Amino acid sequence: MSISQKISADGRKVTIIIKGHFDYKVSNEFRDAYRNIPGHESITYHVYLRDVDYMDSSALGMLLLLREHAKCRGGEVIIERPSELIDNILKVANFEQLFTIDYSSQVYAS
Amino acid sequence: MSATAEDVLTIDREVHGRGYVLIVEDDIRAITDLEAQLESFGHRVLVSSSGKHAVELIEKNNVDLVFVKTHLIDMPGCKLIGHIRENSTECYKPVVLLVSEPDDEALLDCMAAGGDDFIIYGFTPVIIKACISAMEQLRELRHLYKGSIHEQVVGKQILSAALSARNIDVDGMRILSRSAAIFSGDLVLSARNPGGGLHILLADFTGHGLSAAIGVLPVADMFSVMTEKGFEPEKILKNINKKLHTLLPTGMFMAACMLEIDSNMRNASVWNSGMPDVYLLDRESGNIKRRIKSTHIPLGINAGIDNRLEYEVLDILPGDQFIMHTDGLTDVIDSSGIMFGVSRLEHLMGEAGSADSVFHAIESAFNQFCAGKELSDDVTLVSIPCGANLLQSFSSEAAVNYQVNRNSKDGWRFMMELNGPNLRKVDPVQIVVDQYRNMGDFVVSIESLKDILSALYENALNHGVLELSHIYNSSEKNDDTYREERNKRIERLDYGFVRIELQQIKYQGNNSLLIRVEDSGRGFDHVGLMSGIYNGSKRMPGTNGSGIPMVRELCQSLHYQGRGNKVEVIVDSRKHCSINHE
Repeated sequence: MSISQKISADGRKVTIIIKGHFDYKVSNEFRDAYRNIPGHESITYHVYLRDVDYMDSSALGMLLLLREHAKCRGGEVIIERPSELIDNILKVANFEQLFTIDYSSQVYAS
Repeated sequence: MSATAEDVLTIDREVHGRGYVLIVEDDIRAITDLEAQLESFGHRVLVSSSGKHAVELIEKNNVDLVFVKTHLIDMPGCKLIGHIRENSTECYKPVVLLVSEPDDEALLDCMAAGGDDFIIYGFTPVIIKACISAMEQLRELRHLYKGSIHEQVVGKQILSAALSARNIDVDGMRILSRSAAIFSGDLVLSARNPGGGLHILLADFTGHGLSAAIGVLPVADMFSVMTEKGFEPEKILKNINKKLHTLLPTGMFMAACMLEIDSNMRNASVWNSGMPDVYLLDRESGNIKRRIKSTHIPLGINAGIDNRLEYEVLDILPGDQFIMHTDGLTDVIDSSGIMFGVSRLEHLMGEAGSADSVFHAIESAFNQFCAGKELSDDVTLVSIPCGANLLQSFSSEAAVNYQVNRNSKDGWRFMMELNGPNLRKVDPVQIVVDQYRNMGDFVVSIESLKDILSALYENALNHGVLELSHIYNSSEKNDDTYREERNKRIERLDYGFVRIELQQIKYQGNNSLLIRVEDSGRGFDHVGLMSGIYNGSKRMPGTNGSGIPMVRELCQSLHYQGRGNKVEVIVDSRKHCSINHE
C-alpha cells in the first residue's frame, strides 16, 4: 500500500494516488495527503483509485472526511478511475450521490 | 464503587510488589553478582539451577520477575517460559533471558515463547536496574490492559442484555454472528408493529470494536419504540439517519437494510442503504428469486433525507426465505489470501437444494473457510423464513386492525381497532397521535388531539367495554373501589373492541378532522350527558362522560350515536385556533 500526492503548478489541483489496500491502516497517511496544503482555497482533490485492490468501510469514511474538508474550503472531490472491485463498493454505498466519479480520467498514468 | 487506574496500580504494588525475583541458571557462580545486586536494590531473590525446580518455586512462592538462561540442564529455556505463560494468567510475570553468547539462536525461540527482554553476560548494575524498571512498567501495562479487557467484557454484557431485551423472538429466524473485537459494530434488530407486521433491521457501523458499537443503543431504541408505535419503515430509517448524523463524527456511518413483512404474510418490503444485496430465496429450490440492491447512501452521512426512500415490494409465499448479510461475511480472506466472495455465497444458495438448508450450508462453509483465523471485520448472516409460524406469536384473533388510506382526492383516512387482550396491552392514543403527526397535516395541535382522543378512549373503554358505569350508579361510590374493579376487569379482558378512526374532511368549507370512536359496549345515557353539558353542569371524574365537556370545548361538533357506543367529533382549524388564542 502506498499513498502519494501531486500538486498542480497553480496549486488548485491535488491528486492523491492510492495503491494496494485502502483501509484504516493508511488513515494518517491519507489525511496528511490533503491537510496542510499551502495557499489556495477551492482546491479540487482528485483521488485516483485505479490501483487499489482492497477497500474497507473506514476508507469510505476517509473519503467523507476529505469531502468535508474540501467543502469547508469551497473545493470539491473527484474520485478517479475506480477499479471494478472498488467501483462495486462505491456503488453499494451509492457514493455517486455524494462524489463525482470520473471513469475515463487520463490525468495520471502510472 | 469503582477503582481508578491509579488505585489499581497501588493495590497491585501492595499485593505483588513484595514478590520474589527468581533466577534460573545452572551455573551458580555466574549469577552471584546478579543476585547480590538485586538484593542491594531491595529485592528478595530465589535461585534455581534447573527448570523443574524453578517450576516448583514458582508454584509455591509469589514470584513476580524471572531471569532465565536460554539453555538449562533439564530443559530448554523456552519450555520453562511456555510453562510460566500458561500457568500464570492471573498476574503477568515478566521474563528476562540471560544470554552468554550474542549469537545464541535459542534466544529467538525463548522470545517467541513469551520472553520479554534479554541481557548479555557482562552486564553492569546499571543495566540490571534499567532492565528491572522496564519490566515493572511492562507489568503495569499488562495489568491495565487486562483491566480494560475486563471492562469491555462487562460493557458487552450490558449491551447484549439491553439489546436482547428490546428484540422480540422471531420464530425460525437464524443468525450467524462473529465479531472481530469484543464489541461488534453489526446489529440485528426485530420488532412488531401494532398491525402484527414484522420489522427486521440489519446494520453495520463503520469499523469494528467499541467505537463502532457506540451507536448501537440509540438505534435499537428508536427502532423498537417507533415500530411498536406503528411508524412505517421509511419514517424510522429517516429518524435513525438524523440521530446518527448528530451522534457520529464525519467518516462514521451505518449501512442498514430493513425488512417489513406484512401481517398477512403475503407482502414484504425491503429498504437497502449501503448494504450488500438482500436475497429472497424460493421455498422449494432455494434459488435466488429476488435480489434487492442498495439504493441509498448509508445512514448518518447526510443531515436529512429529503426525497422518498426507495424500496422494493415483494410477493412472498410461505416457505420463501430472506437472506441478509454484512460485507464482513463475503470480504473475509483465508490463509492463502483468497476472499470468500459474493459468488461463493450465491453458489452455496443455489446448491443447498431447499431454502431451509441454505443457512446451515453457508454457516458451515464460512466456518470452514476461516477456521482458526482472526477476523478483521464483524460478520453477520441472518435468515428469515417466511413461515406461517413467523407471525404465530401474534394470534390473529387478538390482532389490531390498522389501516392507512392515502388518497389525494378524498384526503387520508386512518383506522385502528384494538380487540380483547390488546386493549390492556396497547395504548392506542399515542399510536394514533403519532400516525397523525406522520401525516404532516396539522388541523389540530398534537396536544389537543391527544386530549380529545384520551377522553374519548377512556370513556369508550371504561364505560363501554368494561361497563364500569354501574359501579358509580350503585351504592359504593368510592374511588378506590372503582379503581380496583377497573384493574380487575382490565386484567381478564379478552373480549370487545375499541375502534378509533381519523379522517381528513372538509367541514363547512374548512379543512377539518373527523374523529370517530366506537366500542363494543352497551352505551350509556348520552342524551343526559349532552343536555348536562349544555346546561353547564359538571360531572364527577370517573362518571359517564368525564372529559367529554372538555372535548366539546375543543371541537366544532360532537355527536353520540345509537345507544351511546359511537361518537363522532369534528375539529377544524378555526375552532382549534380560536381556543388556543383564548
